[in-house]
Amino acid sequence: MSAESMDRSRPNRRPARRRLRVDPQGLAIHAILIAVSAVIVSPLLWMVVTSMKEHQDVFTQSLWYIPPEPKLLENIQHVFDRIDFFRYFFNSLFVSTAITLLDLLFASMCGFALAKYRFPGRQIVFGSIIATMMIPFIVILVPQYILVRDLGWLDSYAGLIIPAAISSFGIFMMRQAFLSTPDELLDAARIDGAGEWRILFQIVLPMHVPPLVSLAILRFLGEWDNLLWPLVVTNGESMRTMSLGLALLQDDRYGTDIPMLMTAATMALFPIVLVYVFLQRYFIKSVAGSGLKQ
Amino acid sequence: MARVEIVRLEKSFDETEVVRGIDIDIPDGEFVVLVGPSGCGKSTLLRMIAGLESITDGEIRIGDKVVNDVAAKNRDIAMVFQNYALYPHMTVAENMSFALKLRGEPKATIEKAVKRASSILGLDELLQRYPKQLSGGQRQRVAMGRAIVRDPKVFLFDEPLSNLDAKLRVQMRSEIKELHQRLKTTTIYVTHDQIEAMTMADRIVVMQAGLVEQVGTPLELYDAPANVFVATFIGSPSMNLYNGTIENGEAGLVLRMDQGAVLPVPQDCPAVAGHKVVFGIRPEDILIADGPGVVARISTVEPTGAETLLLCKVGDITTVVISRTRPTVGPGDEIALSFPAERLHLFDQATGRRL
Repeated sequence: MSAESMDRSRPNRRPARRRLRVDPQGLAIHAILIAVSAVIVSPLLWMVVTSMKEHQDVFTQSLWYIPPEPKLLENIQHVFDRIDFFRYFFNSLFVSTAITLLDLLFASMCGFALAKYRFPGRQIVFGSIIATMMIPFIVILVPQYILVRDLGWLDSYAGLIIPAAISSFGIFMMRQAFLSTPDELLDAARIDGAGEWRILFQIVLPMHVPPLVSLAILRFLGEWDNLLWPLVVTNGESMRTMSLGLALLQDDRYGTDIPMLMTAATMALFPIVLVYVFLQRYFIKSVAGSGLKQ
Repeated sequence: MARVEIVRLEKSFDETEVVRGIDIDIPDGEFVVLVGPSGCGKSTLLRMIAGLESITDGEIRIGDKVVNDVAAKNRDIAMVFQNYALYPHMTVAENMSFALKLRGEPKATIEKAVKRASSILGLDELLQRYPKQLSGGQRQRVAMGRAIVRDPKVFLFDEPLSNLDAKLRVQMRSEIKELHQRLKTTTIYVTHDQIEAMTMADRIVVMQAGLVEQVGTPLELYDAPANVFVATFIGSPSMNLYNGTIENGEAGLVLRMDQGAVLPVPQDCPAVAGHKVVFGIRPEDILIADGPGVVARISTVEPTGAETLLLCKVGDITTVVISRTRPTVGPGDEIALSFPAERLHLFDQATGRRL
């Protein structure tokens, strides 16, 4: 069909007017969805509301009380007084971004090889990678710490980033995504003169943006929230991450300044919300498409 | 443009032999069609010529150069795939220019080549579109454009029309043939559709189970099939086959059908009395006799307008007769068929080879 005839065949009618009908099933589904959303969103809202309160308001006023003069700026000032917020924020941003980018790179490379090349032991390699997903992190925490210590990476970006720079989940996810790439496309590229690296980076990866973005979000969120490993591997002030900083704001002896803690948490949440808002279209596409749940 | 020689070519996957010693010589500029049923090794052979599959034994020469160990990209060939294999994130123009860009050709040369190919194939209006915005036929044309742009020594087509609807397939068939007549590039075309093979090829290579059954022009294959397999594979509807025995008749040799009828044998028949044979006759060569003949009972009548297909039973063997005279018969009727001796094809019953 030529371009003109395609244009001509496009329907040019006005859409039929929608009639408002009561759909009991739809109403019920939406009522449930709204109720569940409320459960998920209310702690976040409470966090934001609390960041405007004074310390005593938390215990004396109602849950959703917003003072007539919100104390948000004072609370932010308190956060800056107590911890080196920008340093922690930068560390978290740098470490999470580096881990995400490295994992995207390595997971696509491994996933591509496992999905598209035939080599002896491929299934065993893939099976072993999947098997590592079943080992809880807490089990390898100590050996990993000893390894990192022996490499001299304690209290360094290397110690924070390199052990997490490749994930079996990422490999699994990218392999599943690449399986759907037709072999003929790779053959066509080979005949066109592309080498294997070019095929991966110029042909295959641009076709799989949704799973890449999805993996990026999952990894970034996971690393941004990560508390245990940074806690173990860092000692000094300069290498602390945001989640460690938030933990430091909790004071067991004199009671935690909850509005301040919530203010810091709100500020720490900011990049995650931004990442999600910009990339959620791809994220939903990928998760819905691959049937993966996380 | 180049000559392609395939010498004693073999391919096995582990224990399975897929291609079992094939020799084909394709002169410069020829359009050769590899045809055969699924799993006969034709696509594997094409992929070996392309350099996408390793060679177990034998030799492939393109333009007198042995290319066994030459990478696909250095063989100077272009391939069109069944599902088009267009890069979905690139526009038509980018798809077509990808190979030239990788080769490091100057921008002006690339633009010129893309322009030339797009005007040959009528793609000028579509250059900035993405593959998903194109119809099946347009995508196929872009895939051919991508091949033309490179001005390769050899074109390889791997069942390129299988995904198109019947009407478009006929149209693209003649477009590909015209393209070959215009560019005169050596072309190797794989299909399982014998009509495509008949209509497009200068020469057809019929393959089965990894072996070449016969190589020849379409009419050679149609008129003188080398064995029973080629006889049934080439031609649609396919040749009617019956078992019989050569016997001594009153005026020389005759052919006695297992169903009982006695037929005259072709004049140059090399068989001797007692020879068990398979004999075949094309549906359009069978005549409806006014007098005595081979008795057949009609089971279905299929008028197509230009001709009428009569499906009937001779004994328990289904026989197809093509008549151009619009006979006034119906299912259940008995008719007499006449098998002209000069139109019979005789094959040895044991080997299946043509006598």
